[in-house]
Amino acid sequence: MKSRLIDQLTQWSDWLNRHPVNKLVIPLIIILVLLAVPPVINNNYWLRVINSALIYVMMAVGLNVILGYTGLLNLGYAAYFAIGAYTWAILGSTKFELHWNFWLVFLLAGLLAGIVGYLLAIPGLGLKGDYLALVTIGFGESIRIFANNASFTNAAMGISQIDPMNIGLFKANSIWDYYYVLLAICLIEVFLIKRLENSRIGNAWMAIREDEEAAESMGLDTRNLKLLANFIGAIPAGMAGVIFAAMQTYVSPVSFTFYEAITVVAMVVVGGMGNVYGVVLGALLLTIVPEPLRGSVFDSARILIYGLLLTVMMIFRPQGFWPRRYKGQRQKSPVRRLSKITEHRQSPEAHSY
Amino acid sequence: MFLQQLVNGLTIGCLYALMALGYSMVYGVLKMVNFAHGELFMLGPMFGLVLMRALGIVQGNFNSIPGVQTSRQVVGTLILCFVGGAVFSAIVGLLIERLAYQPLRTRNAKMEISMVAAMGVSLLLQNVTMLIFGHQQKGFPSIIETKFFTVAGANFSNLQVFIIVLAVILLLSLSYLVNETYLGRAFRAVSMDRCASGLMGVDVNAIVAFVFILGPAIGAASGVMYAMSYGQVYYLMGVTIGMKGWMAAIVGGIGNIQGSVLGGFLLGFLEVIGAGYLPLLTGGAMGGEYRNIFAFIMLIVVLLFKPEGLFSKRGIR
Repeated sequence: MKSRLIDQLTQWSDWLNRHPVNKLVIPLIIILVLLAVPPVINNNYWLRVINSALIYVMMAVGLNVILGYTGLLNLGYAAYFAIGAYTWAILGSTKFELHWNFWLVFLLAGLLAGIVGYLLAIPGLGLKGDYLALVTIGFGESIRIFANNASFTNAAMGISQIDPMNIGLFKANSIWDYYYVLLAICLIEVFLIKRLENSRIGNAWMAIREDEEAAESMGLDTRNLKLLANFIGAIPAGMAGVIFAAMQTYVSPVSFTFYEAITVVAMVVVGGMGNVYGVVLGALLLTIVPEPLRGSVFDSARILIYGLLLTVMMIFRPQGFWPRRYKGQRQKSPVRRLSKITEHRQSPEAHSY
Repeated sequence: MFLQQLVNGLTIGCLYALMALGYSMVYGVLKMVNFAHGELFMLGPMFGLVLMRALGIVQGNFNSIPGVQTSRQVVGTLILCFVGGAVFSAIVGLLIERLAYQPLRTRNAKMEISMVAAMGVSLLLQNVTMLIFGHQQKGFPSIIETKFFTVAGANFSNLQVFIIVLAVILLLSLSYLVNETYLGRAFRAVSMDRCASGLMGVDVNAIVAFVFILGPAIGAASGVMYAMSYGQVYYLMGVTIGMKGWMAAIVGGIGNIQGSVLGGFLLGFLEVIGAGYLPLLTGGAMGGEYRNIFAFIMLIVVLLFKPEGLFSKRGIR
């Protein structure tokens, strides 16, 4: 029943994809709707919830590169988020009286998180995924312990009085401003990741996920591709951390526990590993749906529901609620798709992919 | 000072070794990491506490044992806790295997998929425990009346001796079981090659069930020891120690039982010695609270230079 509904939805999206006019009209309508969200809702509490949902969207789309495309289980994703948040908390607060430019730190934090993600992947990558999972869990815990004890992060007290976002012309103070900035960043990120997904690199990542040995024998440099996935996938988390710190004007180690990482993993898994839109939907659903339950008995059961969801999904629908469909029945598997690319590598039609 | 660290390291190393063993056994047979092993560790003392409360052995807010116990009562309580906890964890472990892992195995799911499922199981167990028992630490009696004595300048308690002796007995009997018995031979065959041993007439499903009974039972026993020595139980108590056990298993060579036990002891020593000497080395700037990072650094170093594990003879994968 449910899967029929999903089939129907996929048919519609296929239909939309087939008609080129829709490619312009539909996104335009979506963007207009999204722009109208703050005036329509006009409720600070819910806008704050939506803002944090958008931060999760940023992270989930990033993790999707690592977990969804390349199939690497990264359980320390909250650490990259923490790195970003603490970068802005240290470089843009009264703590050391440093008030750096917001966008500079934004890019810097992204780069820093990316480099950390890259370096972290090195010890676990010659081996199978469980090693990477353990290394990333260990790293996430180490970062949290470090932030919880070091003096330059104010230990468990956290850093307060962090500068709000500073967008060139004006300082973003209201929740509306943050909404529009986050929306713009998310749209750009989804656009870029979607471009990456359809590129040679994206196909190579998915080939690694499907069958690493086959991908390697097709001549792919699997090691560097996996490192690249970890690099690119970590960048959005660092950037999301900067915005989070600016939005909250306060960071403390409590925000970066293992459960934060699990939440992002759950978003990717529930939404549909490998499908950006599914992941966006998963992130929005898992942040907004539990919100009315806040304060009730179910609030403490949130993680329990995530756990149940993860297990049940893996057993019955490991591809997620909205999996990625590969265009045309002919090219079902990315491995086959890639083999076609390598086959026609020398020929001019190769560009048509 | 050094002898003191050695004794402490040995105590915590015993617990890590028992945990690493559980990970390693499951990994050997199923080639997957049982993410929920830390929770099975936690369920042992939790259920032990439930039993003790139900029988009126412990009382009060701190779950202390009132009055002086005769030695017969102490032994009875110990058996109740260890056996009760182990049986309960084994049942839960077997249920997890049958309900969550077996469907994945029959479908030949990829390792990442089964790991996410196992992670979900671990969260589920944690939070069900939290909903039942609350999110606060609960007192756990040390059962044996604690006495301290000093040998060559090192202070240690009879509880530490008890833990070390019990862990060594468990390890030796397990070593006998795996190396000398028919069941152990079947287990070793399955961990070498699941498919081939199935073709040779070994009942693979029975061996998997055996692993999911024995591993959680040992985990629960170490959980009871841990709870006895720290005097409390907590729904998240299995998280850190589960991670350490997993790290110890990988450091020693996951899938290789002797290796992971040695890895557990090594990790215990390194951690205690590191935590003991770090404040001296850094002039007090970094204290013992960083000791959880030691395990991580050790893991990274081992993975960079000897990824198949320190005590592994054959290269894994």
